[in-house]
Amino acid sequence: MTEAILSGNEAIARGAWEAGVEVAAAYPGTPSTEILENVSQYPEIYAEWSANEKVALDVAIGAAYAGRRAMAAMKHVGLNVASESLFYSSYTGVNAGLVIINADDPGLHSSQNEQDNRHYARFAKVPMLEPSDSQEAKEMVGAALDLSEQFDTPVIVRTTTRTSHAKSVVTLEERRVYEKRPYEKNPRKYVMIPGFARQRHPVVEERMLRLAEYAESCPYNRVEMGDTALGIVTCGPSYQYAREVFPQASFLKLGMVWPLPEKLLRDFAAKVERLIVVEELDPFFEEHIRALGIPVEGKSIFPLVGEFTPDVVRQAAYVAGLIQEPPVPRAFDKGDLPMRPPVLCAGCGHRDVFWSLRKLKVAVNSDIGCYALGVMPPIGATDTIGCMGASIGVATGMRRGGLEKDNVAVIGDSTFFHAGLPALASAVYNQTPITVVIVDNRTTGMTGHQGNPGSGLTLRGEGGQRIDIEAVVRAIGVDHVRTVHSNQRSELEQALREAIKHDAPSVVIAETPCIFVSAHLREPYVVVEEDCNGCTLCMRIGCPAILKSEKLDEKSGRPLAFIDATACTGCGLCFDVCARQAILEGALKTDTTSSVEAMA
Amino acid sequence: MDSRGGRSRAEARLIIAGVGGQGVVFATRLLAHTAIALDLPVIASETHGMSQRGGSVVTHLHIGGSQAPLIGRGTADVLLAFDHDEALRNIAFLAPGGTALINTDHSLPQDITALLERRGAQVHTLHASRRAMELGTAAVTNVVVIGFALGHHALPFPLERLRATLSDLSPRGRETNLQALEVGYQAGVATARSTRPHPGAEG
Repeated sequence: MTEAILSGNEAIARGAWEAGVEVAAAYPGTPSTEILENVSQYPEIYAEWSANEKVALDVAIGAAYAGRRAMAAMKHVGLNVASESLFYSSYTGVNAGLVIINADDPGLHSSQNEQDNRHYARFAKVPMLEPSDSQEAKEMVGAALDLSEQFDTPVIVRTTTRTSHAKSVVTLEERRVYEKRPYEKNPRKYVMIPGFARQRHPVVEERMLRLAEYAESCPYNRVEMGDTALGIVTCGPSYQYAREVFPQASFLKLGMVWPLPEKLLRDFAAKVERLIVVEELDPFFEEHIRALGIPVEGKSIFPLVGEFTPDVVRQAAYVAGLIQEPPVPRAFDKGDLPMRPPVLCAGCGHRDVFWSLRKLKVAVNSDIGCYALGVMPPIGATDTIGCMGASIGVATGMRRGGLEKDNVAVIGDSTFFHAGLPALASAVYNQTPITVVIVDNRTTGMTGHQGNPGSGLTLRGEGGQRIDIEAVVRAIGVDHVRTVHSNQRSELEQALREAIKHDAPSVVIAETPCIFVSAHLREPYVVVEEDCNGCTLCMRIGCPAILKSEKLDEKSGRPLAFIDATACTGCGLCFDVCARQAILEGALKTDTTSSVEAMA
Repeated sequence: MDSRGGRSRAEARLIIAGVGGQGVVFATRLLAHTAIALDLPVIASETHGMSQRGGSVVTHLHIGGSQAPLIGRGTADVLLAFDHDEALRNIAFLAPGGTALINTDHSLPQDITALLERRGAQVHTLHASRRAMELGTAAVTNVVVIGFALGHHALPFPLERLRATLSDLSPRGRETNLQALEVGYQAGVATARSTRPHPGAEG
C-alpha cells in the first residue's frame, strides 16, 4: 500500500486519475488552481485551461455526453460564471460521470467575496459532497463520478481553502479503467428547448427524492456517538475543529452536504439533549434542520462571517457557555509589528501603468488579477473592482452615467479573454467612448503563472496557438489602438492621454512582462548617498525593493533611500521619478534576452 | 529504526513562520516527510493566495495527532521562525512549556520574553541567516533553523532521520543543505548545554 502526503487539490487530481477521468478542464483561481496543474502530470487525461469557467464546464459536460468520465474545477466565484451551464446540465444529466470541483474561500484569502456554494447544490438540484481531509477529497472524486452515473446527474465536490491547501496522508490506488459509454443522439434529453426542458424538470425532482433516500445510507454521512448531552452536526474542516473543542460530544459528520438525510438527522437529534450545528459561512444545515421542526442552534453561537479556526470555534463555544476554558487571547502577540500586505512586485510593469494613470487623474475601473494591487497605498490609483471582466462594463456605465471626469478600464490579458471580450464588443457596438488599458503580462500572474490564450502556452506548457490581443481588438472594431511597453514611460503616458481624448472606444495595450516569466532588463539600481536627501519621492511608487536606510541626511535628519539589490529587478521607475538624480541606473544586462524581446 | 524517535507516537504541533522566499514551505515539507517516514500521521496547512514574495508565510504542522488543519493559539509545542517580526506575530501560538527557535540578529522585546518566561516557554535565537550566508547562500536559513531545533531536542525526530529526508528532497544543493543542518544542529547543542534542558527533550 503506497501512501503520499498530498494537499486536498493534489488528492483531487489523484482521485480523478484513479477514477478513470479522461477529460478535465478549468480556469485558474485560488484555492482551486493546483487541481488541474496536478492533473496535467497524468498523460491518460486530456486536460486544458479553458478561457473561463463556463467554457471549462461546457467542455467537461460535452466529454461526459460523449461517454468519457469528466471533471471541471473552479473556485467558488468561478461557479458563478459557470452557473448557467451547471443549471442546464442538471436537467440534461450526463452519460458518463461528471464531477464539478468547487473550491470555496471562507476568509477571502484571495477572493472578492466569501459566498457559500452549498446553496448552488440546492439551487441547481444536484448532489454535493464535501471532504474534510485529503484522503476524503481523493475518495470523493470517485464517489461523485459513481453517483453521477448512477443518478444521471452532475455532482459537485465542494472544498474550502483549508481542505484544498492542507496536506495530509493519502493512500494511493491504481487507475480504474472504464469502457467508453456510447453516445446516442437523444434531443429530448440533451436539447434544452422549453418543450423538452419541461419534460426534464420532473425527472430532476424525482432524482432529488432518490438522492435524498441515498443520503440516508451514504457512507460519508457518519454518526459518532459520544456523550449525548451535546450533539453536533458539521462538515468539512469545521468537523476537525469541533472534534478538538468538543472531544466528548456526539457527532453527525455530513460528507454529503446536499441533499440532506432527513431520517438520519431526526434520529441523531432524538438521541442528544442539545443539538448544535458547527458550519462555516451560511446556516445551510441549520435552516434545513429547523425547517424539519427540530430545535437547533448554530449561528446564534458561531460566526456567520469569516473562516473558522480552532480559536474561532473555541471562543464562540466559550462565550455560549458550552465549554469552560477560553482560547489564549490574541493580545499575547504584542509589539508594533509591521503588516506585510501584498504589494506589486519590485519591477512589476503594472506599477508603471498605475503611476501614469494617477498622474492623469482619471478614475480607474480595474479588474481581477495582480493589478488589483494598484489600489494599495501609496499608489492608490483604483476606483472600482468587482469581478472578472467587470472593468469594461462598469467603465461604460460610468461614462454613460455622467461621471464628471475621465475614466479608464484596466484589465489583464487573461481576464480580457475570460470576460472582457463581450464587454468590449458592447462598448464598440454602442460606440461608448471608453478607454480600455489591457495590461498584458503574458501570463495569469496572480494564480501562479498559468498560460492563457494571450500567451499561447497550454496547461502542459506546450505551444498552443497564441492569440494576438491587438489583432482581436482591431477585429472587434476598435480603430484607436496603441501598443506600448510599460518601460517606455513617456510614450505610455502619451498613448494614454491620446486614447482618453479620443471620442470613440480606444484601447492601449501596455506590455508589462511579468518579472517571474521574463528576463530582467538591467542590473539593480543603486542610491547615491551623497545625492539623496531622504525626500521619499521614490518611496511613493510603492516598490518593495526601496527601503529606508539606517543612514540619515545630515541637514534634514531624514533617512536616506536604500535599494535592496536582491529585490530590485532593474525596471528604473525610481530612477525616472527621482528629482535629484540620486539613483544610479543599473547596467544593461548583456547575457540575457531582454524582457522586450521575451515578449515578442 | 532509530530507538529515539523511531516508534514513538510522539505528538508535536509546530508553527513555521517566515516571509515569502525564506523556504517556509520547503521546511514544512521536510518535516512532514520525515514524520511520514516514521509512520506518524501528519497534517500541514500553509497560507497561499495573495502571499507574494516578501509577504508573511506561516504553516501549521501537526504531527502524530488529530487531522485538524489549523492549530489553536497557545497549543504549539514548537515555533520555528525564520524572521524576527514573523516570530512575534505568531508567538501567541506557543503553548506553555513550548519552545521557540528564531532566526534573528537582535533580541526579542523584553515584555515578550518576560511573558514567555511566565508561561514556561523557552526561546532560543540564532542568527541563522548569517550562518547560511557563510555557507554561501541565505536560501538554507530554514535548514539551519531546523538543525538548531534538533540540537535543542525540540523536534520529535533524530538528526539522522532528518538528514535522510533532506538528502531525498534536495537533489540540488544537497551538500549545502546537509552542511546547514549540521551547522544549525551544532549551534543548538552548544546553546542547549548552556541552558536548562527542555522536559522530555529526549522524547
